[in-house]
Amino acid sequence: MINFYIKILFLLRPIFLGLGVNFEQIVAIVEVKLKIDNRRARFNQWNKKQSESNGTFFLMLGLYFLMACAISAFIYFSASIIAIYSLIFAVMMFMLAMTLITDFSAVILDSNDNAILLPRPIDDRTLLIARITHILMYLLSMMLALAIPFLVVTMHLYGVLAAISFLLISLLSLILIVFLTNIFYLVLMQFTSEERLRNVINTFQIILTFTFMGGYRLVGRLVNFDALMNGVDSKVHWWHFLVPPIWMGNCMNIIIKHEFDSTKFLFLFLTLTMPFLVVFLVNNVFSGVFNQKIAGMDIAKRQEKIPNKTSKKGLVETLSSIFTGTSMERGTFEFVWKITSRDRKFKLRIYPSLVYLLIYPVFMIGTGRGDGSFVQQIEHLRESTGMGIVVIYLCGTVLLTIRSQISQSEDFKAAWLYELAPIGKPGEILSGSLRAIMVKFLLPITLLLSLVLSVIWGVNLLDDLLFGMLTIINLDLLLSIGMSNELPFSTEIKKNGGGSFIRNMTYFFITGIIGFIHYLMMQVPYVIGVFMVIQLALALFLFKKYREVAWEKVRME
Amino acid sequence: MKAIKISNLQKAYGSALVLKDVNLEVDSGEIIGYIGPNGAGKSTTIKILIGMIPDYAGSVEVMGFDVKTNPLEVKRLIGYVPENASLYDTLSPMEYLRFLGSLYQLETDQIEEKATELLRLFALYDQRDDRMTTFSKGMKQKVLLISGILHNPKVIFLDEPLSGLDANAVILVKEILSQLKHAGKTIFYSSHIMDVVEKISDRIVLINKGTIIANGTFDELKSQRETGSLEQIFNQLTGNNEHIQLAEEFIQVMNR
Repeated sequence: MINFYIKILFLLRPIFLGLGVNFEQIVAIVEVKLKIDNRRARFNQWNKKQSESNGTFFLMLGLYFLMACAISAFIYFSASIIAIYSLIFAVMMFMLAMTLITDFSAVILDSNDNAILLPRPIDDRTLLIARITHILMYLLSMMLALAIPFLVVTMHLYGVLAAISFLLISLLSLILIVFLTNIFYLVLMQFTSEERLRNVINTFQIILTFTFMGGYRLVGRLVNFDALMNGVDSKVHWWHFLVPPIWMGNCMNIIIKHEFDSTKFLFLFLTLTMPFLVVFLVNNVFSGVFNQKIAGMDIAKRQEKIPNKTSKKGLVETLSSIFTGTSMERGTFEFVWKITSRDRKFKLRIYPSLVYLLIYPVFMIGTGRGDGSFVQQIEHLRESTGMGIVVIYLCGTVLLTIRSQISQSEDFKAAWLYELAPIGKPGEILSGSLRAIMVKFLLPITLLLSLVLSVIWGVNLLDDLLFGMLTIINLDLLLSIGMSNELPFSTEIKKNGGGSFIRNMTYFFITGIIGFIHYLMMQVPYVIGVFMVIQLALALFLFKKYREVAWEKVRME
Repeated sequence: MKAIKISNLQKAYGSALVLKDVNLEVDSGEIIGYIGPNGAGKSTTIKILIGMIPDYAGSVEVMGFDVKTNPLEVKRLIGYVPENASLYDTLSPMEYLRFLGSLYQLETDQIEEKATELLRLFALYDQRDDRMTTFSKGMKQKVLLISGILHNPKVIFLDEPLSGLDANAVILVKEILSQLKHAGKTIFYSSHIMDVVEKISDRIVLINKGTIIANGTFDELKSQRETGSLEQIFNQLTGNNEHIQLAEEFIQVMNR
């Protein structure tokens, strides 16, 4: 696999030389990084061995492929070339952008190899392009997994020329989205000092996620069910020029329908030139400060005092004494609470996920039928309580998402203390960690949600909210007790994507099904009430069981 | 009762035998200097003794408890300061020690009081609420040392404990070690710095290629050989006396 990637690099050699970077250094850096990604040392108490596996990555590719297959069927039904291809490019670019922000931000902003690379004679441009190329290798695989089904259908319907054009435009869109995201990061670097950068980067990721979701929604305004069936109106709005997938959809229209005029030409022009413009900007304009800023990322300032002094009992300590039972639970509760507030890499990985999990409901409200005003849409929502249930379960998914990330840390080597300390039942640690996540993340979300639900649907959905959260907690506990667990912050951060985005989507799917069952149960009076009692009893029982989890069920890496 | 009793210990990683038949007894209150060349099996021995590696052949007892059958008892009684260890450095020393203390199920107030005092003694009092990301290697090493003794262990395993410490801290730690010995603690000290080992150890145990090849006081070791320092004895027993020639070759290759 690595050899394949390296061959691609050699094919692209003229482009790299054109950029004015040191090609040999790029190949060396990318090759060694890919090797390291593949060779995550896995040692546990019983056997030290190296495993070379890329299981999650290929699973992710498989899921992308299946998803693309499903969407590609729409090409047959669609009445509008512009609509369907704009949608396809929007889906592909959105998926790539989200993966890029959630899974690969940490790779771009990695400071682990500072000690190795920065003292060597490597210029800013080469290091930056090497990092982007490293990520591009993964995103290229994803892009291909997504594009192949569309490619086959396009070939079948519109011939070889259209298929080749589709592939080329896909590659252009990949370059556009990757370099565009990086421009955002670089511009941010340009205007902030190193230590400010560390603080604002999460806020920035959230804004970026918003921006991309907004772009995606704009495509949705053009391409809805109506448009797919009956064709879009041919009128070109000004905002079409802001949304790259629409340019690209128009390009496909030119190639397939041979319709050509001045606005169409503008779309074609943008498609063909913008990717190169962003590459130029990254390479020639913004790369200058990259090394310096990356180097500064980890030089922490002395002033990083921890606000609540140990002499006083802080909020965390109070909460931990309320919500935990044993001493190990309490210690872990505080430990997890504090590290999740401070670990920059953890926040880099988790905040974008939180944003789109929490913002999705808002967008869904926006997609309500008709273009009515906000008030009208709210009125409309009131009529369907099903929507409220959807929102509850989407928000509940946050718990599963954070739980899946909590074991990863840059400081995973510090986990030796779990093996040193006299821990009889690691379940106490796991349960302390779960309690911290529930109190810190799930509780505020639930409270906020109870407010939103009361305003829109009235208080009668509050018992459903409680029921939904209990269901998700029980689901999480059942999964944890049944499967192997990892202790908090004890495993290496998965560099090759790890598939956070696709995993979140899978959680959506699972909780979606449960939410649907909930909706069916709601139709019969008293059923939720009765099951609530059962859920509560189950939760209490499972919490007790979870505390008892033995070492056999724990994986140390 | 022996503090440490190892009989016929063997440990293999795959087909490679790292420890071949190690036998060793340590009395309470002894300072053992455990030395050997890189890859001799020092760290493996220590990790087995503290219960981090449970699959081995032979019998290993610490304070009368079998490490394999009673790992929790053993872990409660021992302290360990690993070499170049990582810690969760987004935490402050106090927070880290609090977490660690909770794993040993110590009282919160007791942990805080003890940790504060120990940090003060190591001149880290003013930094006790700072994140350790800003700490130098020596400061982190001090925190690690405290984390190894916070729960008042009976047997203390130290792996290169002086690394990164400045000269003042080195003197302090050496003095602490000898005071710990007087307090009846057993210390298992592993290091490559020969003159420190020579000075502080009651007994020196030399391991090479998975077997113990020397075990005795410094004077006993010296009487077996003519040469003077522990470094020279070490080199005689485990090296090949080619270092001058190797160094010359090194320079030649570099100049190529």
